[in-house]
Amino acid sequence: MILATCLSATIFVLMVIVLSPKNMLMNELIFNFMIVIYLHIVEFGVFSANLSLISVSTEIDKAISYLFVRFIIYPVIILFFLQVYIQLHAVLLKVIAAFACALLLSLIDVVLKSVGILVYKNWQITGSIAVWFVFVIVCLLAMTGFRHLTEKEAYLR
Amino acid sequence: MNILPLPEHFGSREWFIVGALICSNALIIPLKRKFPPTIIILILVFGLTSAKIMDVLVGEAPFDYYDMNETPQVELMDVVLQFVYPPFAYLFIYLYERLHIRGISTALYVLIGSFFGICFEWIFVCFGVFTYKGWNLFYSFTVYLYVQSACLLFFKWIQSNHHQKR
Repeated sequence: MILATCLSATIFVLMVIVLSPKNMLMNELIFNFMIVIYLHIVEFGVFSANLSLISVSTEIDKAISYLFVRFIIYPVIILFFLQVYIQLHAVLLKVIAAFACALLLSLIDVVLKSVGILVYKNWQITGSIAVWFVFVIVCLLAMTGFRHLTEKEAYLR
Repeated sequence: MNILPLPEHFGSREWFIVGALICSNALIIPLKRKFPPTIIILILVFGLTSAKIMDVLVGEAPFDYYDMNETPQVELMDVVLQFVYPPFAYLFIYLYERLHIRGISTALYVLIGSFFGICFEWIFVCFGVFTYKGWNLFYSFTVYLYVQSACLLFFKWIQSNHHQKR
C-alpha cells in the first residue's frame, strides 16, 4: 500500500514538473536535479551512518518507497522552488520562498515518519526545517553559479 | 559524534585513493578543451552523481552488496573517493568525440570502456577500497554497460540542449 501510494505521488510530481512552464534552460534543470540528488545522498549518509539520527525502514516496500522520494520527489520539489526563486526580486520574498520550501520538505519528513518509512531519533520539526533550509541555500548557490556560467557562455557565443 | 571521521590509520588504501584522485585529474587537465565549460561541468556532475546513486542502490540497505573503505560510516576518504569517478566520465566522452566513434562502433566502445572499468575496480578491490558481500566483477561489468551507455545518451542530450535560449 505504501509503495503504491509513493509511486502514485512520484508519477503525480513528475507530471506536474513536465507539464508546468519552465523558467530555466534544460541543462540548468538537469544540473540542479543532479546536484540535489548528490547533496542529499551525502547529507543523508552523514545523518544516518555517522550521526545515527535517521534510519530507513528495513521493510523492503518502505525502503524502495524512500528511493522514489529521495531521487524524484525531493529533487522535483526543490526544482519547483528554484524556478520560483529566480522570478522573485525582493530579498524578503526570496527568504520566505526558501523557508516555505524547507517547511514543505519538512512536512514530507513528517509524513515519512508517520508511515514508518523513516525512523528518527530525537526528531523535532524545527531541526528538520533548519537542515532543509541550509540544504536549499546550498542548492541555490550551486544554481546561481551554474546560471552565471550559462549566461556568460551565451554572451560569448 | 563525528560528522566526517578521518581514517583511523593512513595505510596503503588511503594512499591509493589519494593517488587515484591525483592521477585521474592529471589525466584530464592537459586535454585540449573540446566542449564548453557548462557541458564539461554537466559531464563531471553526471560521473559524480551516477556513481553515488549506484552506491546507494547496490551498496546500501536493503541490498547492501558491498562496503566502501573501513566502516559503514561516511568517512573523509569516501568523499575523496567520489571525486575519482568524474574525470573518467569526462575522459570517456572526450575519447568518444576525439575518435569520432559513431554507429555500431559505439557498442564496441562501450564494451571496451566497461572492460577498463572492471579492471580499475579490480585494482580498487585489491587495495581494499571495496569489500564485496555477494557482489562480483561480472555484475559490475553489466552495471558499467548501463552507466556508460547512459553517459553517452546523457552527453547527446545535453549537447542538443546547449544552444537553447532563454
